[in-house]
Parts: sequence; structure tokens; C-alpha cells
Amino acid sequence: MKSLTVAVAAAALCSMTACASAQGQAAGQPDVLTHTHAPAATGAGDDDLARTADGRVIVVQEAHYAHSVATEEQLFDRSGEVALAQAATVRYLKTPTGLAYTLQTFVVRESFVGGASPGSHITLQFPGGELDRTRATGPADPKGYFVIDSSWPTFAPDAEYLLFLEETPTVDVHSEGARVAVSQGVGAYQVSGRRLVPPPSLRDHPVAKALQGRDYQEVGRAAAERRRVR
Amino acid sequence: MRTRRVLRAAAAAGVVGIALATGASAHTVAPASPHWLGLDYGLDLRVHYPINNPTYRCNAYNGNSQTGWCNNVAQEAGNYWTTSSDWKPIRIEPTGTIAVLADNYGNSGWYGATNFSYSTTTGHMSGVYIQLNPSLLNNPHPGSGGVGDTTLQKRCVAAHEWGHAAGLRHHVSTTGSIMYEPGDGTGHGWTCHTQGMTGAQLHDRVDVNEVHQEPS
Repeated sequence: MKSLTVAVAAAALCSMTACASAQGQAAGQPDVLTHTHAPAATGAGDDDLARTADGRVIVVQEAHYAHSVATEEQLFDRSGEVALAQAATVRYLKTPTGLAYTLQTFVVRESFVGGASPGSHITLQFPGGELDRTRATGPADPKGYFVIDSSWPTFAPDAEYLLFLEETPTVDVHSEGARVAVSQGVGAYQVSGRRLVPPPSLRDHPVAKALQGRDYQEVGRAAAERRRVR
Repeated sequence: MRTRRVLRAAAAAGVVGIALATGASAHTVAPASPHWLGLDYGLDLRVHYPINNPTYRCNAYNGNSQTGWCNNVAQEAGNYWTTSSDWKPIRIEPTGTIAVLADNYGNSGWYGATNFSYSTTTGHMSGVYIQLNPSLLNNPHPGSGGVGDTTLQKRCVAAHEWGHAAGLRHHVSTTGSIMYEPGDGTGHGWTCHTQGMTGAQLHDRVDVNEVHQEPS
């Protein structure tokens, strides 16, 4: 049973790490999120913490966010840009106050709202990313930490996503030109076989549940129509 | 046990349980609670840090010390989770860390956040730190009625984050929980402003006790 628990954990991580691993490689970054097992724990205090391939301790962030949306109409209304976009490069940075954040670049494939040209680039800012060994508190780890915000999908290189980007950012934007998604991860869906796939952690979210499994073009056109009639 | 089940049934009517695993061992029990934070990561149901011995650190916000937060808000919010006789945490090991911080995190978009690391060997949460964001809480924000939070409303946020540290995730439909967050960001306005919650509710107590049941 213990092995099953670990296997489930590993599977959950694999779904994150396989993507993010290649994601890092695509950007010329170290293979930061490939899951590895440290040497087995040998006793109390010798905890086998989940780590990235380069040794950073994986930290999961569960945040209580403001400025969220409860319906797809609210999602559409707050979207200044809705586009099908292909994940490309990634960078990890820190805010002036020490919070990890990620800049993920996408290549626009199809625009529904906002008029981004196919082939143009969009940079998405979202919480999570690398921290060094001097984390905010607790014991320093020689390899540092990697923060994953639970409400966000993992962006796999070359995979396509339907992005709903805020017209007016409701959070601090730390890099010029970066965009933020509406309602955090509620505004970013992987597209698999034309269908929208929200991250597992949003399975209870009313908007994610409403959009799950729907055709990306149908949703994108509905957003455009909603914006048009406003 | 029966009492706990009855309480849970009363508090969680209509909630369907989710089970990731079957059977039990010294390390694993089936997730009886759909509100266990670790479901998405396949984690076991217990925390592995000395939740009864947190450390507090409050940095200055706009030049104003946040010490009062820690002493009067975060600690009071944590009192239930750390000292209540009707909470039955088990397998709490003195090896991990738990800490509460308040700092100027800017407009990060969140009132509070809980960060945890976990063990791949035991599947336990093994270290937690809670972040409270006065940058948002001290100023008008959604559901605040155009003003910043009062001390008690900040304590409500701290209590919510403590719930994550105890292993609970958000509730999308249980309005009688400090963990209530329907997904549209109005949970803070409901629990901390409308309802005036300042600590764990019955539903949370039942949830957390179920999370921390000793394996049979």
C-alpha cells in the first residue's frame, strides 16, 4: 500500500514533471522538474522530500486568491485576449519581495479576442518557480526550492493552450509586456484533441467544470461573441 | 468513531467522498475526506511537522511592524489547530517545520498562501509555511466593503491558512467552513466579513479529525 501511495504520488508528479522537464530544456534551463527519488529515508528526520531533477525541494502552494470568476460569462468579460497558443520557452524569476514567478512564452496559433496575430508571441506571468536555498523560512536546503501553485496547469513545450488573458491586470506585473491570466489557472486550459483540459486541482471550480471537455473553437467563438455584444 | 461519523454526516451532507486507494497500512489510509489537500499529489493523510510548535515571523510592511499580527492574529488563529482538545492530530513528528509569516508581498492576488513540501517515502506533508499578505489585507479588496480588513478579519484569513496547514483544501459549497471558497474569490468576503468567522468551524473540526485518523 505504501508503494501504491508513492506510485500515485510519482504518477501525479510525472504528469507535471515530464512536461516541465522538457519545458525547461526547451528554454535552455536545467531539467528542473524531472522527479527523482533521493536516497531512501533511513530514520526519523531523514525525510525523502520530493525534489526536482536538479535537487530542489518541491513546494506546493495553495493560495487564497481574490479577483476570481465564478461563471464563464465573467471569464469572457474580463478577457482582453483569448487565443489558442503553443507553449515555447520558460524563465523563472523572483519578485522584489522574494516570491517565485514564471514567465512562459507562447506562440499564438489562433486568436478569438484581442486580435493577436498568428505567429506572434505572448508572455504569461504566473506564480511559482525557482527559489534559492534561502527560502522565506525554515531550514535552508543546499539545492533550494521549486514552488508549484496548485491552481495552474503545467505548460508542456509545444502543447497548445486556450488562454484567457486579463484586459486590466489585477495583480502586480513584474516584467514589461507580460500578461496575466483571468482568475489564475482558471484562465488557462490545455487543448487535447481540440478539447479543453483543466488542471486536476480545479476539478471543483465552477468555470473549469463548465469548460472541461468542450471544443476550444466553440469556447473561443463564444467568448468573441460575448465581447462583441457587450 | 461513531460520534465522529455522525458529526461528519451532519456537517458534510451531500458531499461525496473520494477514495484514491483501498486498504490500509502503517503509512496509508484511504482518503476519507474529499477535502484533503494532498489528493492531487497522492499524499497520505497526515502532516509530519510539529504543528503544536510553530514559529512566527512578521516583517515590516510600509515601515510598520507586523508583530501584532503574529502575536494577536496568527497565533490566536492557530490556537485551535495547535491546542484544541477536540482535534486529534496523529503522527505529528518533530522533524519538519511550520512557520507563519506576514510580509509585504505586494499585489500578489492572494490574501494568504500555504506552502508545503512533502515526502515521497511516507507521502506525508513534512514542512509548511503560511504567508499572510498585509499588502492586500490592509487595503480595500473584493468583499471588504471598500476598506482594509479589521484585526478579526485578518485572523479569519490566518485561520483559513492554518486549515491548509492541517491538510484541508478549499470547500466550494460548504458555507459553514472556514475553508469555504466557491471559486469566484468571494469566500473571504463571506467567511471573514459576512459571517465574521475567526477560527475553525464544526465542519473543519470534523474534517481535520477525519484526515488525521489513526489507520485501522
